[in-house]
Amino acid sequence: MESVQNATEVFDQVYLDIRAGLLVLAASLDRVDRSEGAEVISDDVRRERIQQGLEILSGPGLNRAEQIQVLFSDPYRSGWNTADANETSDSPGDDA
Amino acid sequence: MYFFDPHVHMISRVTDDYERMARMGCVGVSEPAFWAGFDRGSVDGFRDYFRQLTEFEPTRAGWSGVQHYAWLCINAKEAENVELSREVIAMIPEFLDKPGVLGIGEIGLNKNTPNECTIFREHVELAMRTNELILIHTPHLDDKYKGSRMIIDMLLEDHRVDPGRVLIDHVEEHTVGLAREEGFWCAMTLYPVTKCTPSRAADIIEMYGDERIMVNSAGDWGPSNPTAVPDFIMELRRRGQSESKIKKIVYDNPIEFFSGSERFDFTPPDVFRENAPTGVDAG
Repeated sequence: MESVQNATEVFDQVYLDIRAGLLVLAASLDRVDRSEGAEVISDDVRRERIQQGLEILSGPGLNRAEQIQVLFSDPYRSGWNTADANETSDSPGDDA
Repeated sequence: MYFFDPHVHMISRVTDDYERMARMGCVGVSEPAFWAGFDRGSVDGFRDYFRQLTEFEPTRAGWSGVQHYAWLCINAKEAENVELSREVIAMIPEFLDKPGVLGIGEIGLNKNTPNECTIFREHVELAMRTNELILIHTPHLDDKYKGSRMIIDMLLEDHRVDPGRVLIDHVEEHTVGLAREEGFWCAMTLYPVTKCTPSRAADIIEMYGDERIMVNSAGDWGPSNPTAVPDFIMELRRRGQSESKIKKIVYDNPIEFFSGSERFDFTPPDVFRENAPTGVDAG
């Protein structure tokens, strides 16, 4: 099922949603930063991931959503279920 | 438009939800066994749960003209109790001849642990031994990508598994391709915060096509919306998609996949509603 709308039609339809989404993002980050202890958050790995997500948004590409999903995903190690894999791990498919 | 909700935990919802879903065009639901919000303590607890899924829920759904189907398993969240999990897996065949039981599900991983993998493989073994369809739960959020890959790895270990008889659920942008490349069916769950929005699900359909894919509400006892499938229908209509293409995703595809079970005895909605029983008071 391919899109039947052209880019202008799509953009007209999503423009206000994107604008609203940016405002939610901006207001949420402002709320964190004006709260007591905000400096601690700068060391939080989740805050770092959000920053990386913003960089993905500002870049080119047709798969930004997939890139952001992978950014927020635990790593995977292929071959975890083969005979020579470490079967004693608590998390067998872990990259670590 | 008639639609199926192929994954919804109606046991957690009130009868009014069946009524609202029916008013919006729902003609059928399939209900996987899942976690009750607490870990159950005995195999008899599951036996009672399976009776409710296979006896009372089809009756209650019928009051609104909705046809009800079920899947049986012990959920991955309870797989850390390996002994109980094995007792439940051994008990499941008592229910596999019940009308409307479509197969084994929703099995899968939650935190991707060794015990979850053990119980997942034993569920798959049961499904292979009894020639049942399989419905797969994939983990949430950060665990999803790794867990989905591990599940697919384990399915591919077993050469008896036919991907055309397995539905991998809760796929999102980073996992839909993994499932489809190997020939599995897949489904998207319309949970706006932790899974897919209707618009993202529509984007995925536009990018990956409408073969072997469906959408569901996964409505349950938590924040969820049992009328999410109609929201998806409206999103595709807003995008100018034809009624026949929308129907393929929300009606034809679930019926095609479920038809792999000999107990999927579906009656077209106009015929079914003419013969639907009336409800009774609960209180």
